[in-house]
Amino acid sequence: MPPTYKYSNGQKYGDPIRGRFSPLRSLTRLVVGGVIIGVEELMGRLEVWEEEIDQEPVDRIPAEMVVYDVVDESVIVENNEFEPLTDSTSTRHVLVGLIFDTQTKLGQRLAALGRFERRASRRLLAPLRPLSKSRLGQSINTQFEDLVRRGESEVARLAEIGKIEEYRSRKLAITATTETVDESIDFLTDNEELQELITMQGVGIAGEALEEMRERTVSADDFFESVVRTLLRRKPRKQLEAPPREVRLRTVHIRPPEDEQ
Amino acid sequence: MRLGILQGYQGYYAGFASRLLAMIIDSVILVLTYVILTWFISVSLRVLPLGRIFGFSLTALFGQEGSGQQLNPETVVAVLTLSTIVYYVFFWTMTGQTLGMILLGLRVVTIEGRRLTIWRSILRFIGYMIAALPFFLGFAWVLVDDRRQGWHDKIAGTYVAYVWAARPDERFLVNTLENIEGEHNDNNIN
Repeated sequence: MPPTYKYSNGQKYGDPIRGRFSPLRSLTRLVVGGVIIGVEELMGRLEVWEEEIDQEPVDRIPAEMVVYDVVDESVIVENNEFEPLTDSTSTRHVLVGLIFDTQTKLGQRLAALGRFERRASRRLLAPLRPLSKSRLGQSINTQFEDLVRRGESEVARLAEIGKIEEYRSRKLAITATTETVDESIDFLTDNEELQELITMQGVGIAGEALEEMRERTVSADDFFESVVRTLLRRKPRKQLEAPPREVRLRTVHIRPPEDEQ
Repeated sequence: MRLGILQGYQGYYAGFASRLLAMIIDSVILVLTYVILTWFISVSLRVLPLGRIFGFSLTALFGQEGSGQQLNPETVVAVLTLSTIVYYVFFWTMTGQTLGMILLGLRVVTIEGRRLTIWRSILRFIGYMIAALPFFLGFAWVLVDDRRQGWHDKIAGTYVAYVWAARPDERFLVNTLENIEGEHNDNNIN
């Protein structure tokens, strides 16, 4: 039995397309679910990768980039005097530095802005406090609080819709991914032409490698022999000696013993 | 490949490097087999209380049953020797090619180009041991012999041949030609 989704106040979640397929709604869910799962995965992996980088031994960091302080094992970036940007590498370093420095400074500025806003509102509201306690002020205040309450309930409703839809979007994205992967694997395993192609390529590469190895060993056969003949002061072989043709044929196309008699 | 057609060095006497490489491949295969075989026997002795099952103990033959100790060194040597003999004799008799020889495209045959009988294979293996005794001189004999035969080949009346359309690789041929041309030019100058 399919689940029935409800708001926290008991009211039924009014999904306008419940029971019938809407491509737009499903596509939205797929995109939302995909983004949420993808971002979560990415965040998890980024954290792991960052930890891995941090665990890198100091002595593996390129020497031209840092001064390695053996005493406390800290990495110290070279603090050179300003040098003119002579090459593209220096320019790139400056641009990368700018990106990260901007990020840091922006964070600091936003924090400072927040502090300023709190101080300013305290100073501005203090002189206006008598006005807000007047009859007119209280009437406006009541209406404003009503508006806020309505806004809050709307936000809460949206949050509940979001919760339901996020759950459904995740499920849809997982189902879509799993089934796509399964179907792809099925396609690969069922497609005989593709399998043949993969096998032929594998065999082809292996065959080429084997042939090259054989060719090299045949060359090595001749090479070692010529070296030994030189050392022993024997005449170099003009042509490789061969068994009689019928013996060679028998050797190559060897047959079962009963045929050989 | 059609019967009656020979290409390249097909059927020619195979040289030292090819045979050595084939032997190395065979040795690797044999070592892996030894490891698996001795491990299997060792684990079987440790896990199975064979003495209690069959009513006799295999301690004398394989080691201390159930104690988890190593196999007897004599047993190891016996297993190694026996499996080596079986490996070579089996492949030489059945196809004339061990696994290493199959990879390198070689085959051992009698002087008449026929398949080895089991006795000739055993004789060739004995020849192996004789060839190995004087610091492997019997194997190195392949380098100087006109028919590229080692002592074991001479003892058993066999030779090893290329069964693929063997040819040296192109770079080797180019170098050889350059050397020949160089010598020719030197002679002309002199």
